[in-house]
Parts: sequence; structure tokens; C-alpha cells
Amino acid sequence: MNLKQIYKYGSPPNYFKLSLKAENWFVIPGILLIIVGCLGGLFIAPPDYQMGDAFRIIYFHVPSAYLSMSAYAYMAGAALVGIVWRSNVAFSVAKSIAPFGASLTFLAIVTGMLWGKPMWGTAWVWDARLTSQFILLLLYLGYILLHLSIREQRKADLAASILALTGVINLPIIHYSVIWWNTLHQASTISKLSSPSITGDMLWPLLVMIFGYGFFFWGVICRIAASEILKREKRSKWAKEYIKELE
Amino acid sequence: MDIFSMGDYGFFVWSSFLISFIVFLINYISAQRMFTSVLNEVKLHDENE
Repeated sequence: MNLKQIYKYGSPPNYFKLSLKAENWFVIPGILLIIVGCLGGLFIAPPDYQMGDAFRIIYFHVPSAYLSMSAYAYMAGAALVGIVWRSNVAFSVAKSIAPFGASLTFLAIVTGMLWGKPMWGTAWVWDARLTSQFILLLLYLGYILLHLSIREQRKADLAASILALTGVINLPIIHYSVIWWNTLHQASTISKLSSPSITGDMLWPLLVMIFGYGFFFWGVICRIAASEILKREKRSKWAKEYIKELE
Repeated sequence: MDIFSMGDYGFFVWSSFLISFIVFLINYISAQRMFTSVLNEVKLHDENE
């Protein structure tokens, strides 16, 4: 893909159309992968020798935790592109990611609590991993609230993007927290695919779930980003033509 | 019935499944509803002009 094509798809009407087309390419495989992953994780994978069936929470906790962090990186990346190229599309994508990213972080925290209660005897401790994940949730919420609190679109985009970029510092802290500090949270299960700390029978549903979550996430983001672009471009000729085409 | 009890961890495992399902469903439905409401907003804007 050359620079010309990037600019072509960076224009609001082209990105809008592409997003709507791409939605189902992501959502449908995402749902199928999640179904397969759930079946594999809940019914086929053997119980853990120490944690028993409680370990199956991993199939919901790990994908949401991974995606909550990578979604933040995508959001910050889009914010950076928005600032550098003054791209309305990039700002729209960044804004679209925030609510789903926040819900994934919430999901990672809640499923972690549900795992922690029977395994650690407590649902919450202020250790480095849990605290940094909680800060990630606050960063997402801060981004959303900052955007909502500023009326002028350009200023809101810029202020929220600066916050998103500042928050990137939290991502390596989350990732390395289990190495840098003594935490109740266990070390990474699959930090290296070549040497995962779980057996293949347990690993494949986890990988399927991670991909499923990712596909589904991007499918939903395509639809939200399309909505955001259309909203921002409602006065433009192409938006009016699109509405006429629908009628 | 072993499937439901999950070795006495049924509440924790199935709650994780259910919460994940609900969060995904809410995000999907709200994305669709947001698009519909923006379409209506643009239509209204178009008619008022």
C-alpha cells in the first residue's frame, strides 16, 4: 500500500464506506471464533491440576486484559496520527475505541476478581498489576469525560488525544508489573508463544478466544467509527448523498 | 450436571462467561443504535436545511 492509497482511505467518505463494508468481515469471524473458543475452553480443555475448573476463567480474563491494553495502544496511535496529520478520521477512530476499551478493562478487572476470590481468598488487592489495570480504566474514563466536557470538537479531540498519549506510559507498567514487583497476580501465561506455561490442550482455546475478541472488537469499532465520521461530516455533500441513496 | 457445577467453581466461571457475553452484547447493540441515531440526525439536519 503506497502513500496515495493511505491518503485515499484517510478521507472521511472512503473510510466511512470501507468501515461499513469491513464490519461483517470482522464481526462474523469474531463471533464464530468466540463460540469455538468458549466450547474448547469450557468443555474440552482439561481442568488445571491445582486450580481445577476455576482456571477456565482464563478464557474470558486473558483476552479481555490483552485487548484492553492493545485497544489503548490503538487509541493512542490514532490520537497521534490525528494530532500530526490533523486527521478527522483518526480522531474519530480514537474516540470510537474508548468506550469499548473501557468496557474491556472493566471486564478484565471483574473476571480477575471472580478468579481471585476462590484462588487468592480475596477479590481485590492493591498490587502492581491490579492497580495499574485500574489506572487504565481511569485513563479510558478520563478520555471519554474530557471529550464530553469540551464543546468545541477540535479542542476536545486535541485535549483527549494528549491525555491518551500521556497514558501510554501505563502500558509497559501493566505488562512488566509482575516482573518488576512482587505481586499476588501470577506471571504471564503466554508471554512467549514458543514457551507458554500452559499445555497445548489449554492453550488453543485461549488463542482462539484472543483472536475472536480481537475480530469482534474491530467489527464493532468499524460501526462506531462510521457513526462518528458521519456525525462529524453531516454538513458535507457526501453525507447528504449517502442519506439520499438510503431513501 | 458437572458442567454447571464446574467442580464447585460454577458461580465464578459462569459469572465470568455471562458478564463477558453481556458486555459484548451491549457494545454491539449500542454501536448499531448509535449508527441509526446518527442517520436520523443527519436526515433531520438535511430536511431542516
